[in-house]
Amino acid sequence: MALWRRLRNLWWRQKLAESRFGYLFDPEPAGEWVAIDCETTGLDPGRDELLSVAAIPGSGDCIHTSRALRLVVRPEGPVDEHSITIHRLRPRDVAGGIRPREALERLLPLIGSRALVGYYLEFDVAMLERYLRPWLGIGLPNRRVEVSALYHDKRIGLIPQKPVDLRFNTILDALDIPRLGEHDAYNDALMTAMAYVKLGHLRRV
Amino acid sequence: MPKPMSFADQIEFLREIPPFDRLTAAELERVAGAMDIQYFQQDAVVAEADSPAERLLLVIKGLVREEAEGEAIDAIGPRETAGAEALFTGRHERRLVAAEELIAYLLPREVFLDVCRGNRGFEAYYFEDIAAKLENLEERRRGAELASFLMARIDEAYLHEPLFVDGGYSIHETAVAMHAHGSTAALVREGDALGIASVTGIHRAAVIERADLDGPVRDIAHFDLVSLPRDRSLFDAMLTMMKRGVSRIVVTDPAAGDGIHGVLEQRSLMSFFATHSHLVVTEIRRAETVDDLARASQRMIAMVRSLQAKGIKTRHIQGLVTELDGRLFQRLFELVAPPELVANACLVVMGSEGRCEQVLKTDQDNALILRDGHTHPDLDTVAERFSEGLGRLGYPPCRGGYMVSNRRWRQPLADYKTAIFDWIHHPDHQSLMDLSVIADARAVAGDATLLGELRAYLLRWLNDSPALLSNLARPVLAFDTPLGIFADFKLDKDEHPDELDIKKGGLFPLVHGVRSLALEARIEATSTLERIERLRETGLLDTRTARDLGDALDFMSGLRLAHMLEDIDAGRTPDNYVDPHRLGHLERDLLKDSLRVVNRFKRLVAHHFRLHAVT
Repeated sequence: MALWRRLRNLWWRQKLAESRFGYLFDPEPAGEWVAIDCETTGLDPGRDELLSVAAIPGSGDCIHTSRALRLVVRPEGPVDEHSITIHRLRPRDVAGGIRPREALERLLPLIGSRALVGYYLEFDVAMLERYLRPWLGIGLPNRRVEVSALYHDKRIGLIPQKPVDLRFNTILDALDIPRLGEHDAYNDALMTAMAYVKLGHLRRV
Repeated sequence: MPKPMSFADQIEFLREIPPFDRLTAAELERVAGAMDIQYFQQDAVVAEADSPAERLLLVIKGLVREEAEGEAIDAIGPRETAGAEALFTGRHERRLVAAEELIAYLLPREVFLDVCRGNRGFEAYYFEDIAAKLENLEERRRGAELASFLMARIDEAYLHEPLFVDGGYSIHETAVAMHAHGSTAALVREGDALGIASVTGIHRAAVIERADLDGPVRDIAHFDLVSLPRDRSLFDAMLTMMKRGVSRIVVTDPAAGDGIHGVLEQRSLMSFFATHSHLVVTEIRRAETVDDLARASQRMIAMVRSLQAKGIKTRHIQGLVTELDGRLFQRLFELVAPPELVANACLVVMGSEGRCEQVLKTDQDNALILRDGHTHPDLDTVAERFSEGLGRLGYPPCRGGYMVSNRRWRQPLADYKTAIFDWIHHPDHQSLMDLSVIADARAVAGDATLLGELRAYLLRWLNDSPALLSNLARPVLAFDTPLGIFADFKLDKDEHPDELDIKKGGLFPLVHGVRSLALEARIEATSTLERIERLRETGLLDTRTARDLGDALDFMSGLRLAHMLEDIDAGRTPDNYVDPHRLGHLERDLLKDSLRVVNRFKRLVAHHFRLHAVT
């Protein structure tokens, strides 16, 4: 574990506002991970809001879709009309959703101390921490696995000069991942999980 | 809370796949919710033989190979399930290996068994054999055909031309006119009114009521005429007949001079559905010229099409066509050959026609066996005219040259025997082919005993040479069974579709394997189904295998026929390339089952003739 993360987690462990979430700091279970993806009203984690989140746990090469969480979240402010065209969640779709804190209440036990797997994970984590910090006083202490970085490292050896195309669809195509219908949080999390599992077996892409 | 889209995607995916298509919405949701996804690298073992079975595999992408004793016996591709049988017994009998990189849904055993317990249809899928699935398919097809039958217009059925008589005609005169006109009813004009007098009515009046036969027909005619316009459906006509208790309907046509188009008899309504084969037979019998025969021959395609659309089993269509073809050949031969040649020769058909399996005219395979010592000055011209005549009847010339117009295939019996002796003792590629072709010969005209003698000779010498039988059987293994093609079934819809040669990949190995076994067993029958039956009787094939082979042959022939009819409709030359992506799920399933049967059979034939040992 990187030193800075260990120090940070020690600090967060002290700060944790509700002790019942102490399990977040347990040792990481070997081979277990959770793929997550969020959909939001926009791309600014400081301002935009969470609309839906999907988390799919996995162990080794198995993706436990049967235990997946798919949560639709009701945002606290109005939904930006432009973003609706991307995530296709209209105000009426999210009206029946749960509050962000309730979403986190259900998400955290699934995540536990497992590694988080995502595509452009930084954004998803920032989005979740936006609601987490004011509540528990901490961010997500989990190890993070960035699929595009894994892909980058396995791709770069081949053509070192050229910048690597890291777009989601490019990665899916290069890895020959089957497409699973519309882009939504769950499908994206699932395809991310498949990419992660497959990358684990490849020396080069 | 609204159901997220993605879960619906998963259910949609399942809903399309047999047997999941038999599940209720609640069951589908349960199954979709219980599935995990697993990734396997190429060559990874999915399940070891004799290991406990814990989950059903549903392939999303890639290919699973099923192995028994180290040999691949099956391939399971996208949208297909693997390991179901093992879930019932609890142990994997066979090894499952990822033949390609594999992504698959996994359904836990307890959920699978639970759903099976709750849904008989779902469970039955895994126990149904190919015959039951076929039945299912034919029922569906019949349903569709029935619907189209009922929607057909009245004027598409056979209508009798109306016979008009005046109301003042005597009953006797009316009966005579009906007899001359060949109809069972007459329309009776009485001023502006129109009535109908039928055979039944006259019968009742004359025989039962002893009415005066010289009395006017108006006295026994019914003037409450039941009529329908010609553009109404046959379904309406049937309902009307039932409701009004009549057996004929006057069909009206506002455009016709007298407003009457014809008379629809209940019998015609019923036989609209039946075949027109008797017409073809009559036409062949009456034919005096090759052109007459050509007309009858052309009618056969329409007949085959209507039989096929009705879901009649392909083996029955083949039986009917074989019968008609036989008469066609016989009549043509009689037309071109003088009687003394007919009496001293035997006309045989070979290849698919010989096996009674030609449905559409794919090629002419025939030969003439002459009685030893008999010569005829016109033989060459007759042979030429016969082959040319067949061409006019729609049979393309045989590319292999198996035609009486080819000197090699019109010889005295003794010369054929010499040739067969040579082929057997100095076999090469061509002679093995010739042996296969002549092994399927069937007499259609002339003296059939000539062929009988030749066949006895052939069977005797073939069995003297086990190595030759092995060589003869070898082509059974020439082409891979194209089970792998199903793996190309991508989720992406705009992939280029791959096609499958149903003849090379399925029909040929089955037909040739059966032929080889039958020749060894000295079975004289030439049709594959009959050979299978004989092989079963002699115990060379077990009952299950025999039935599976028959069903697989029937299904693949039917598929090929449907495909060829489609080609003909589109103005293309019919070929054997079936596109599995365009089949319905059930048909795809049956095709796979059939190919599996072929695969098992190939192993049986290879083992029997020790094809792996002989080099």
